[in-house]
Amino acid sequence: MPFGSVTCFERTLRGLAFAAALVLPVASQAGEVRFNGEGHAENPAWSKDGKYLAFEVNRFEGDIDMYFAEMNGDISKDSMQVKLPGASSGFSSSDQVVMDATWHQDGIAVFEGSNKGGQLRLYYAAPGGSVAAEMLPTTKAPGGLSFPTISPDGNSLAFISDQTGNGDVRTWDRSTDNLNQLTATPVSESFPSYSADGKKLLFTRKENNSLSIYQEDIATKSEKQLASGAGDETRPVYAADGSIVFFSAGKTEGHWDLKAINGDGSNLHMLAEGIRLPIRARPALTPDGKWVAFAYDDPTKANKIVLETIDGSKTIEVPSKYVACGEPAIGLQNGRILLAYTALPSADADWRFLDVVDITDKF
Amino acid sequence: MNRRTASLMISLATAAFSGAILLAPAVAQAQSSAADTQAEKFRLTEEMKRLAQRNAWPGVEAKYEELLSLKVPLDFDTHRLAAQSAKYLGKTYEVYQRLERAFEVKADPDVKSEKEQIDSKYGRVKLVGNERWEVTLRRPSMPFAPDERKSVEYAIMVAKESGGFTGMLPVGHYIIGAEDAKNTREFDVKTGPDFQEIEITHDLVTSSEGLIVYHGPVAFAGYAFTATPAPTSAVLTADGSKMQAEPATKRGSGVAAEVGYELGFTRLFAVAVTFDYRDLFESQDQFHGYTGALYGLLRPGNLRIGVAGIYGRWGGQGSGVYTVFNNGQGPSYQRKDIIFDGQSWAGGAKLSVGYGLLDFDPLQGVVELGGSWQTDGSRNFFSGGIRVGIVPKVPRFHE
Repeated sequence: MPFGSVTCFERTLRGLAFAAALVLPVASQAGEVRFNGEGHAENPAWSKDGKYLAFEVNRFEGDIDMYFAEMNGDISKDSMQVKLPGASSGFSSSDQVVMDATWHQDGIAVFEGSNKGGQLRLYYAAPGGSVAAEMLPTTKAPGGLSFPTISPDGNSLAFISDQTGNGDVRTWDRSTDNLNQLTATPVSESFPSYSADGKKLLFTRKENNSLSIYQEDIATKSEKQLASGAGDETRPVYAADGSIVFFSAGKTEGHWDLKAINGDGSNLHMLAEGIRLPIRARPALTPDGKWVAFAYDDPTKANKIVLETIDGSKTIEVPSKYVACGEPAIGLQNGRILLAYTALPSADADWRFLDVVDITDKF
Repeated sequence: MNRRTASLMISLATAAFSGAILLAPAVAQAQSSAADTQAEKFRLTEEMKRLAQRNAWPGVEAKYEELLSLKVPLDFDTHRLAAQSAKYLGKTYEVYQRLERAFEVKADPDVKSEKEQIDSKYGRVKLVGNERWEVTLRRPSMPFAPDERKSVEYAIMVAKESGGFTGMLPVGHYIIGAEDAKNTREFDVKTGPDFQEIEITHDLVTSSEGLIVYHGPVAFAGYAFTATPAPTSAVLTADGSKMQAEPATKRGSGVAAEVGYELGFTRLFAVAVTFDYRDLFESQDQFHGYTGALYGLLRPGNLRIGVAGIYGRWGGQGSGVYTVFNNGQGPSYQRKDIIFDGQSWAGGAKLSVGYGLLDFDPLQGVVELGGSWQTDGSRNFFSGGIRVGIVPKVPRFHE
């Protein structure tokens, strides 16, 4: 990630602008998602109704803050910071790590969080609330918890637990309040993802120093490897037609591609080569599950977000006036399709910011 | 002064003595200074914080209730902490009330937004039933968010234990009545400032309590002081031919023990049947009383107030007869040396006031003060004392 050199004068100007923004009435520009403080905006995640956008701000000082932005179309109000219990007040470093939000249709976001040096746990918060609360108490789900994902019907939550040491897939059922352990292996699993009917889970497993993709039937706990190779295959998600989209690293280190396979693991095909791997998001599908959004890693092609159908038959480009675009996320609000993505305002900018664009008319 | 007047005065004195013992702490409390109240407020506030650090939320609730009873202004952080403890327990309406109190102290924007969030997700509901009923409240689809789930679970528990519910519930569809019940009633909770009142009729009830709400053994042991004044006029034998050698005025102390059984018809009113023993020892004299009692009891909170009709036998032996006795005594044959040994049957009344201090569910440890009066027609027996014992605990639901 390029960092431009910044002179003392420019830092002073930015500091004054920042101070002014805190004091003066705020007027959000169309598209830009504002927040107090500075850092890289990353990992946007839309609520189911497209009314809110959760995102992270990372200063690479050990803490990561999460914010909720309320969206009026592509206009956002100033974002509200999500605080964990025990958070320090004020605008200084929060000493917390809050990240990886997933939304429930009730308007609640579930995410990972920890106080500095503490254990990662799952928390939940709704926009407008002041402090997040723990989703599953330690008495119920001890150990570090991460990678939350919610089933499409909103009735269960899958996550990774390191209670046994390495990271196993577990689910929580909201009607019975029961936990279910789906994997119990000596290796680590990550990135669980539900099928549309909620009966299967995809996940990544690290074995033999590489990442592979597995699918598990939740009821029978039978699993099947769908994709593996010399490189890493990771962060799988189901598309609308049952095929699976994932990131694949093969050719050279740091080089990532976007690939897809049929639901049974056949028909492996390339969707895009040389893409910019998001910080921790899965492939960004449209709400109807028919398109996937991505950005290129090549700086000459990184001034746009690209959308492609899962079968590779169609492509749409969304040009941006910014550079180093990445981390796309697609939301749906009252029938309007909104694209959120991060970018550098200029090649020498310090921090990535978050932009929102209405792309309904592109389809 | 005749015998009746003397008996009445002694009875009043005993009652006054017992009352003074009971009222003394209340008088002392009323007279405590503002500094004492502030010290108590500080102590309770610190205890609240310590309990919160240990996640002992029922304890935090209890301390907050004690703070409210002091009727002194509380600070913002105290109300906030109390709101947090209510949240952990699922008491959403209490959360809202405590946030309101906190906001009155300081117009904090986080408190305002938290109240608004509750207003946007919860509605106010009053389910009107009867505390003797067990009512089943259900929500077919439980909420996803843990705090909303706790709110529903709390309401379900309150309805089951107390036959009704007043509070806030997450917006959604609810059912009164068990899944296999013949009759159920469905209702929807919506947001809004007004309480939606729903009457629970008997046909919706899962079960109701019988005639006896609770029952259990009663047992006491303690110390009693007994006085039996000498009759002031001659007491004759049944055929009226001879004068009885009634003991002189005797007073002394000894043990008192009582066992029996209590039946509660409501959570306030009960009856008990007991058997009591007490004795009086003074020098070489001894008296033993064996009495049966039928109590009417009031059990408000931890108080136990009893009034009983009693009847039993007093027996005594010793020396020293009443001044009325005249059997030709001379200097070498004093009344004080005349031995008495006899018994009589006496009826009367008893009053006791106790307070429950310890919990041995389903029993409760109590301390009681009591006094009694009995008369055999010629002689009175006054007794008073303090005792400890166990009684059945009244099953009450504490929210």
